[in-house]
Amino acid sequence: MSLLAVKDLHANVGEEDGQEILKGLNLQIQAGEVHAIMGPNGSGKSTLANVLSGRPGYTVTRGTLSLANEDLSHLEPHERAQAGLFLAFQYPVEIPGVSNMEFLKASTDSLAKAHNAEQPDAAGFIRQVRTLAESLDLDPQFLKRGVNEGFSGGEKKRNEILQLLLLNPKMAILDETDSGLDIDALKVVAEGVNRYRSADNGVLLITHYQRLLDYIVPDVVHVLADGQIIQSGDKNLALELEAKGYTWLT
Amino acid sequence: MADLEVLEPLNLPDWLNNTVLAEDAVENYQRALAGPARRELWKYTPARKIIELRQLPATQPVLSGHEQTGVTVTENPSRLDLADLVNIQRAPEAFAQLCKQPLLHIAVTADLAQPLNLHYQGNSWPVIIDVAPDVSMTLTEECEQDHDQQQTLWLRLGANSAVTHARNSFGATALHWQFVSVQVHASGHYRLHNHALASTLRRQDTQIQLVGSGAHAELTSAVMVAERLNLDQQITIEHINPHTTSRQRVHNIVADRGKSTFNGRIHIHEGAKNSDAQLSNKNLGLGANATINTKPELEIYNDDVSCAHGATIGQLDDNQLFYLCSRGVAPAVARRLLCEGFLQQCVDGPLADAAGPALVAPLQDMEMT
Repeated sequence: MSLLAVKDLHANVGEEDGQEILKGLNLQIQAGEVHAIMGPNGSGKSTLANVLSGRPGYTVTRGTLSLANEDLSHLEPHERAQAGLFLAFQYPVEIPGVSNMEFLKASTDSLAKAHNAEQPDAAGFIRQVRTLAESLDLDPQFLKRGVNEGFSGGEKKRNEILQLLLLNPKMAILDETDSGLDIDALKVVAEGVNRYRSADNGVLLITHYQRLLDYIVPDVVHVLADGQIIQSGDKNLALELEAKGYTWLT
Repeated sequence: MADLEVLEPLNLPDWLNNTVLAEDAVENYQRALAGPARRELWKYTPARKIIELRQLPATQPVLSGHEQTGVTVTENPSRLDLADLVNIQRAPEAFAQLCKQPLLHIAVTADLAQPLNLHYQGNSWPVIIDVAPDVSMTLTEECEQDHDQQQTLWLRLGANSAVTHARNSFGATALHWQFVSVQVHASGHYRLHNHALASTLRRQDTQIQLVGSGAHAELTSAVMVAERLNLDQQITIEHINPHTTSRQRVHNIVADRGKSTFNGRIHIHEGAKNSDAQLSNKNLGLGANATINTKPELEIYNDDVSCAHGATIGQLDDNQLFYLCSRGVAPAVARRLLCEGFLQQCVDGPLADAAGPALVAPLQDMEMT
């Protein structure tokens, strides 16, 4: 059984009559695997991340998507998260007035409630979050500030990884998490993703550049073009793309 | 505008006799009642309802912190010089209140370690607070009662003094008029943190005059207007002398069928060179039938100033909502969090701990779908 199974996925931007972006995409990720999706601009990479996470503004017209055998297609975004899906955003939004800590507690409590689990006690939770922040080189003072408010690009991405480690989902989709990162921040982020990796979960990395894959070594690399996966291979495919570009495949 | 004329003729009280203010008081008062400025101030709110509140029996507010060294409280002083403090033209109703009732004068002549607190039990005597030069203090006002009521407060900040003023008003079913007039002298520093729930009608008049060079005023305000309730905020900051600065941030949430009015006026007088004023009013409407009136105004009679003002009316941000939901937070909880965050940006000062939960309490009963 695949952890994430996407079969013949067709999706439009907007309503049913909107422009079709995903045109029959197939993808299977087993527990314990890291897959990378690369592709030229406009190939549908971010649309795939948005459709999987249930972002409003997209319509699935055909195909199926499931996580650990649970059909995701009719679930709301928060229900998909409760089912174990996590999207690390390319552009994390700022939410002034809602402190990071308050947000993380609301999220953790929501997931615990959905699984009938006990909500963590406040003091233990704060300790856990502070430790995670320090391990990602994030000043714990940031936890008191509004969500992503005034954070640099690198700090926002590290905040995404903090959430990944805290919420520990079954499946993490990282949408161009490497964009805008300097090399030191990239290493910190990659280290966080590697800490998250386990035999029980899966990672889908969406990226433009092979550089990230030096630090998070994928099991499978896919090339997405015009809404379909047109080539899959091992990590060497990424090196080949770096050397040759995409035109030899399309 | 018939209801603007319900104010009674003036009977000048003893403390006013033989003062500069008394000379032209009756004439100024009559002129103010008929003037266009007054019509503008009462454009969105039925004046009669508020003016009639003044007929209710008044009591002295409950004081605490007044036993500290440096605080002198006088009931009904026989003589007061308020000539420079009271602007009849701008606030004839408040002036009439001063003339009509017993009043409380509080002089503060030394730094206060503890806040001076006014706790209102209902309709209140007018209060005048004189803060001596170089004195630093905190003033808190609390009003939780649900009776119809009004309060008028005058603050005079001496040169180089600093006052942090926090006000929590959480009665939700009353007619309530709150008037505060503040005068800040040279290098004085005044900071107001206003937190309130709207009510059947909550009218808040705030008039700040920066009369001394280098005077500074800051105002943050967060108000929750729950369903079918009403808020009217009239704020004027006058920059009268050079190098005066002001900052205002006002956030209001207006639920379905609620109504808010914000009129924020910045007046830079001739000669107030290098004044620097900023005003931001943000409104969040919940539901299709919320009514939000907002009018930030600049009136500038000087070239060499820096002024910025802006107002926004919007709904909850879809991207923020999706971000929270993508972390497992149900949409209704996410909406509530975003509303709390919106108000929280303007919750500050010594009464902030009590204000946060009180402001968002109405959200618990609200349908947040």
